[in-house]
Amino acid sequence: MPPENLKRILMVEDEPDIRTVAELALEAIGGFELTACESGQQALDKIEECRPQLIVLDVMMPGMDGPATLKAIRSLTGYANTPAVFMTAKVQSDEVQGYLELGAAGVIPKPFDPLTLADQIRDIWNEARAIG
Amino acid sequence: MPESPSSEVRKKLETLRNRFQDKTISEIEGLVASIFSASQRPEAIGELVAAYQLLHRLAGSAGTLGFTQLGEQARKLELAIKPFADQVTEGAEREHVRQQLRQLLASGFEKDLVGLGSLLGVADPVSTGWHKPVPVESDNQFVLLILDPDQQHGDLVSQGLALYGYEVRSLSSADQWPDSMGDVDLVMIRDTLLQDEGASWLSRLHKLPVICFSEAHDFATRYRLARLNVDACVDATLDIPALADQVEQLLAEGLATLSGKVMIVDDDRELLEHYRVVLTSGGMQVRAFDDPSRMLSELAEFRPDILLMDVQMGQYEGPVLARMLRFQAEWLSLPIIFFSSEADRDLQLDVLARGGDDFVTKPVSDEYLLRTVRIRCFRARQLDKLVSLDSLTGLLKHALAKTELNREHARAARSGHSSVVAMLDLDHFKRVNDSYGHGVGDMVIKALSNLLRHRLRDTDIIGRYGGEEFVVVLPECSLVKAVEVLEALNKDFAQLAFKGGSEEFSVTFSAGVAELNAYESGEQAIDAADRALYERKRAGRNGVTVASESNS
Repeated sequence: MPPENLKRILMVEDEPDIRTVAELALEAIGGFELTACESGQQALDKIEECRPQLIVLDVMMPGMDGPATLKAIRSLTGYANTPAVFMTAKVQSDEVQGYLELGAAGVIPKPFDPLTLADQIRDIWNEARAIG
Repeated sequence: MPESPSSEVRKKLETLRNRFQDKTISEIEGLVASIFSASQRPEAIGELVAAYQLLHRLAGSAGTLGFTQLGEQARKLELAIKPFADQVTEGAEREHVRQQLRQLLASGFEKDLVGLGSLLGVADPVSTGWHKPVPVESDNQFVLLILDPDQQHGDLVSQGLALYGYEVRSLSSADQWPDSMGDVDLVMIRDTLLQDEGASWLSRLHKLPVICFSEAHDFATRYRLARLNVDACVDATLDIPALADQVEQLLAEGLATLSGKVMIVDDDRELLEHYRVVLTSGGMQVRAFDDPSRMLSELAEFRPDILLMDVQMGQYEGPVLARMLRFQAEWLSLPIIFFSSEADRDLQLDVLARGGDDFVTKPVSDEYLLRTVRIRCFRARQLDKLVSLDSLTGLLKHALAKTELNREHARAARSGHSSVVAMLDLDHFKRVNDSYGHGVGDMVIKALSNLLRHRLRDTDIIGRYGGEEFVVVLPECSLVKAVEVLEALNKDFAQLAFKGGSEEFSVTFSAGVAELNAYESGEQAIDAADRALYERKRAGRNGVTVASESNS
């Protein structure tokens, strides 16, 4: 069975600057199809349209935060096992552990390097595929 | 002409950065104002929560947009103010929080806070880290700056070095060096320009490798030049290959500090993820996984500088895995470092005897982990260079070049892309050695290897195959493109003027090329390229010949 290639990514990030940088990093550099949402609610509205293979979530967002958004997405049919990646400006080991317990496939520390973000995501994807 | 995506991306990043800068100036002003008002009026204490959130956001985003210092400072302030924001959220007594905040401000926080805005003026260059894939004609050229009042000399040096694929700029004095020219990788300067030690531009040399043209060999002058951060001194004669060699060496030393590749194997997934995050945020390339049975295939693909693993992983023992890796000559010199929670000396010695190189005792702090990994990667690279690179040319040695060739053959077969192998041989090389001596002969060999290294892509494989024979593998490259590239190299190499005694001479090379995937094995492809090379030699040398399909 050929390995499934990563193409469609859904990102939830409330900061417009970071969303734009991520678009560059993942579309222009990484060659992915990215749907970038500004809130958890928008992500829930758009998820059927973009059918993501992987979800990237900022942890700290006003309203519905990253973990809450993931929980809501997990409850939709078809997204119970979609690999999810958290982006966070705080990296403490107990925190990382907490995210992994929530079912995240990886954590990307902020600030991230726009030039290597796509590689990091691809690595996490490959890792998640190998385990899953 | 359409722009390459890389320069387009770079431009967009720059635009974003400017926008971020504009927006953040006022945000920081607001931040400073709200913290001050919270420290003055208990009823404004609630503003601390928003202030904390803004600092947290800056800590996460400023670095991505190129303001690393701002991000780091915001992180520091964020951590300092977090307890206050927490107290406010929990409904603590306002006046009490306000008093504490005043103490914090007085203890240096105020100074840092006010200075935050000025860090918006300190941006990292957008180009750093931009070592992305390169087209066959490499566009990530090194930029050399020549500062020489003798314009004729400057021009001749530029023309000569341009043949090696460097972008060369020439100015007759350093005062003309525009501030905007920030992309210079190396400076060549005439010693007379260094006489005024008070010149304001001198500080610009500190961060760059500097070659000085100087005929003065006396101790006092040389000492002074060394004190002014000159890295190398050359006579102002026009020995371009020797100069190119010097340039090459200095640039390579700078690159050696680049980040390394680390592989981590640990069956504790949380810990593994934590290590991955810490090392990745420290700029390392990391491959982490929890199943030791995948180690061989992961190693072959990722080719790390060092391997970190746990001593005990489920049914697998780290030391046994290390010994197993040493079965393969390929991994004999891979540094293996164990995480061990035991401070047991005997066990550690036992592990070392079985093929491990070193220990990191758990628990390990993030900072220590990053530092130790960095140092070990750097050393591993230095060592690896000594072991696997040809000492004269710095190219891959025969055996390793062949290993790489076979790997590319397998890769091409798997993914179906086209790759090319070429064999190169200097024409009439024996004559060079006989007429001018081996020292000059070595210089010619070095010149060709430098030329190849500069003009081919980072991803191309270049090896010194024998005395004056080279092998080149061009992954993901069509035969037509390969011939085009080699013919250009052939033409330019023939133009290089070498010095032998009082004479000047030039040397040519012949090349045979074959499409890697047209043959059953890498071995057969190399034989075909070799046959094509000898056809070229018989047909009059100095040129490129493609292997005929009938030979396959």
